[in-house]
Amino acid sequence: MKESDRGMFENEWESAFEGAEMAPSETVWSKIEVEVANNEGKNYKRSLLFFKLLAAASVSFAMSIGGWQLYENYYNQGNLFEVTADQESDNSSQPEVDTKEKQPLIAQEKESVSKRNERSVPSSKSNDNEGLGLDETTDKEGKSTEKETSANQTLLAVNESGLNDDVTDSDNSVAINNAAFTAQNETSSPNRMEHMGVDFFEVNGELVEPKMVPWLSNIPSGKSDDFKGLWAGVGMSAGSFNNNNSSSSSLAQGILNSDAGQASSLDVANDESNGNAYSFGLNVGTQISKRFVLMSGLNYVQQSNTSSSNIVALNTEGFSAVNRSASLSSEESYAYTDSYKISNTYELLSVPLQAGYILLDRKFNILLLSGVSNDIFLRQKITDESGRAQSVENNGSDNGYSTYSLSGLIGSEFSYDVGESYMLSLQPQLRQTINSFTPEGSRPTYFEVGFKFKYIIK
Amino acid sequence: MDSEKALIQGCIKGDRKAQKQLYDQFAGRMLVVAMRYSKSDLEAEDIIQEAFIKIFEKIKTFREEARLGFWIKRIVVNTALNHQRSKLYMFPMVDVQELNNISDGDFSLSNYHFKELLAFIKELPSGCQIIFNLYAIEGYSHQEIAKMLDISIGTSKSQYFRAKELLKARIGQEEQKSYERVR
Repeated sequence: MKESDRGMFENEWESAFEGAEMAPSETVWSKIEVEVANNEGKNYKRSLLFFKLLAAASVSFAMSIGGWQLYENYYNQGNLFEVTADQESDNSSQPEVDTKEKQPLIAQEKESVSKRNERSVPSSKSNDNEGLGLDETTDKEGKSTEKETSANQTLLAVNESGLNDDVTDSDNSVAINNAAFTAQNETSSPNRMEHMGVDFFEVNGELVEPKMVPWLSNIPSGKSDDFKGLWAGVGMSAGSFNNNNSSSSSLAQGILNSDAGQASSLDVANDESNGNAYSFGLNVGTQISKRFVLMSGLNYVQQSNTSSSNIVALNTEGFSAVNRSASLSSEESYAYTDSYKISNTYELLSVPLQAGYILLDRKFNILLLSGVSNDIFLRQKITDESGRAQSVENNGSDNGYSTYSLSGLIGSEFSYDVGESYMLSLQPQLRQTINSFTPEGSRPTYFEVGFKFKYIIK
Repeated sequence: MDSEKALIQGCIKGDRKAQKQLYDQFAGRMLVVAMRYSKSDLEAEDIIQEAFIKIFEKIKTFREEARLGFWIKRIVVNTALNHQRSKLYMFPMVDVQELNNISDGDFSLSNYHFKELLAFIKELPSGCQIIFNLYAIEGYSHQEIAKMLDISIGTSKSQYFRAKELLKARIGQEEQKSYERVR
């Protein structure tokens, strides 16, 4: 610091001020004190603003989840009523069926209905109604869902005990019971809504509490004025989907009905469960204005879920798994088996195109995103989990699958700037299939959370 | 040393008593520093006020290996420079012919109180005042000053020599007055 040309002049001045002190006026400290207090208030306000924005983002996120849940519940109810209605029409329109074949199927069907009712009215488990007759159940029509569940249990007990002599009577009772079940379902739907409200929802046959919004803490609030022109990155996401199966096994029934001697009410794998989906790929984006961004990319998507089936496709090498009614072909032979569990895996290529509104543009950023995803169907694989039936793979447009499908996307992105050139982001997103790639036309709703690592190019 | 640590910790936590204690400990010395860079007492107090607010905001960044007094002085000097920047803009410094480096001889300021010397410094043109303070009293090199003020090294040197000349002349005048008074 000191230069060599410093001489006596500089040294004299330096020493003249060494240890020199003057008392400032009293007002100086008062002003400092007031200013420091004001700054503390400003910092508090800044934190408050941040938490307000965070709360707003959380609320919008929670509303998305809530909307999705309501949507899911609505469709689940729709499916339940549809199954009941189908069953009712089957019973009334075809009274003379092979009762020996139908008996266990009805029992199976009633069992699933009974289980559903047990789930929706847990207290029915404690009822000991095994001694009650079927007529008694009919008499109590319209009283409560609990009674109806008891009646189903009685029916099951009768069927399981192998009282085939009473099959005709039992069938009549089943028809009556179905009517009672339908009526009670209609009357008890408001109660069901109470049970299946926002506090709990059904996933894979279990009542599950909804996941809460994760708490984000320690978020720096340093302002970043960088205008991110273009970025590219890699990302992955994982989530779950609801199949929204509103279609029944019409094609299967059509094919099977045409086969003389086959039961029309065979249930062919229409209980496909909700599943999991994950994806990974490349993404690019650009900030087109101060508040708007455009994002795209290329992702490989894999979806998988499980379902049960009771038919197999016969071929020269043995038999292969069949998962859904729509995958049945009139050119192949099918056989009925015991119920078995199958896993379905779908593979797709996805090209999303999203526009985003920058809600918060700081070191921590919040984006609201909306757009579409162009999905190209690659293949579907059906595997018997027990390994007895052969796996089946459907590629491209085989078996009625559409190569192209479109999905709507809505979500948000929480990103954090790492240095000047990198970003880490978390992207919760809701994806609704608009036109399905599956032949049966199921339009799944996905909820997924993505993680992205981005490099800001300029 | 431990008491200084406790004082710093108190200030980091926003303890008003600790802040006042720190202020009382350094405000007197820092006011003199501020006065060397300003033209009036009021301006110097404004600099002190602004500097201490910064100190309380930034004290969590203070590294213990540095001397607290030195760290505080740097903040005061930087604050003073920011105050003077507008003046530097209004009266841009131009290179002046470098004077012959006259020998300091038996130059002495022992007969002067620092307040008298402060008055001489305040009489200097703004540019000269700042560069004189930075070079002669704070001990910065011309290279450092040039970087701090975004000027050339030559400008820093020429301004300093001008300040030196003016101060020597001023002190010469004072000595002349004293001599005449004695006579």
